[in-house]
Amino acid sequence: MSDLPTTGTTVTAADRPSPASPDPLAQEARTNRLTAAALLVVTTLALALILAGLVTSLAVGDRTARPLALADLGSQHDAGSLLLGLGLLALAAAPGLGILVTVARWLRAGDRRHALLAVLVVTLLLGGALLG
Amino acid sequence: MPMTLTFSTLLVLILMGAAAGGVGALTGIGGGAVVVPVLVLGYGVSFRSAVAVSLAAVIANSAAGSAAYLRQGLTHKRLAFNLEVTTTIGGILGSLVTAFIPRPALEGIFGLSQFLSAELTRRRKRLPSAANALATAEIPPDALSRHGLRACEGRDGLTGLVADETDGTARAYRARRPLLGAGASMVAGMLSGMLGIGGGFLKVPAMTVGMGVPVRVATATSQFMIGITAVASFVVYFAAGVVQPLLVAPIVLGITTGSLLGSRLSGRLSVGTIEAVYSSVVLASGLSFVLGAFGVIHV
Repeated sequence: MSDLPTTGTTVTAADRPSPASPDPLAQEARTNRLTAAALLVVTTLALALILAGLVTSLAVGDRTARPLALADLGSQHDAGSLLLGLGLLALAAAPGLGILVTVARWLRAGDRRHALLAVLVVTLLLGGALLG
Repeated sequence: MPMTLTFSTLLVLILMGAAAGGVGALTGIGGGAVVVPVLVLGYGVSFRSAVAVSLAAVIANSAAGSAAYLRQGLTHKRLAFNLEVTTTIGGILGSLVTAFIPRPALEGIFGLSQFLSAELTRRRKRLPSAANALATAEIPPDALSRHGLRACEGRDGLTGLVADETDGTARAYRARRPLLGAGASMVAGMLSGMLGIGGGFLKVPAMTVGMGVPVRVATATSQFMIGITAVASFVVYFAAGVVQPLLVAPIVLGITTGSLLGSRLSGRLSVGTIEAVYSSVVLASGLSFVLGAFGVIHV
């Protein structure tokens, strides 16, 4: 529990966090905010692409749901399917990008063990796409 | 037979997604407990396609809901990654084996997993909530409120602070039995990959009952984890050509809206209310699939 705050961190000025030893709670709060921002930005982009793809498909009268394989994404000729496919790809990438932001923050804070664990999870996600 | 999106179908799918997103954000489940039954039972979509749609919805639900929880400090990221390694392996395995399991068997597993989830939630109510609380004498009461947080994780991956629900003072906790959590997470990952249900139904009770993590931290951590687990399985289905983007779109858009609303409501609703919503949803979907698996109703 040494990394959690104790009364000593707030009672005396000498124990108050300094720029050289930043408050762990403040550090973690910043990591959380950055990870949340990464998740929201990528997810918003993905949803915008999906919405644009849905509207485009409906506008041109394409209302039939058909399967789309990841490998065929590049060969899509109609804009609706392409936008929908790219949106799904961005959606699938959102958690991975959120993880990478967390990894960068943890590496900066010297927490290599958990950064490595997080990288291992991203590697497994990429491996899943190859297995499929 | 390919599904055609009429205006009414589109509206129903968006509203269903919003309901699933709201319930998912409140309970830490991904919303798959709602999406899969509606698509399979209501619209005759193939089980694998419904699972793929549900997994996309789970990713969107998790990302939107997690952002709010992360800002409040409720998500224990280190604990999540400790458990997520086995969960991701389980998710990939689950999505690969589903092609070889007959549909009635999948439906039966789905139904039984929902009953298990409801039972685990019921048992959770009978346990003391602070069984693993550490001595809090050294923790300043305003440790969390100074940073605008409701919780904060420790760097060792098992400890943390959480704001007391009654007076908001910071209380320390330590998760126990990490191996039990990892094992349960692997099973949750496999079921997620097979059934498209996020796996939060098992992760939340595993973390609270099994590991002694406070319920709000467990819910937020599960919400973060289910998105990662769903990606592990979704990419397998996407690569295999099972995903129907036009079917995914309205549900994902609806579920994101519902999730954002649900995560905002989370701090205002009691744990009992959240658990009641959760139990009702999983029992209803579980019953429908068990009846379908035994041929009592035709799906």
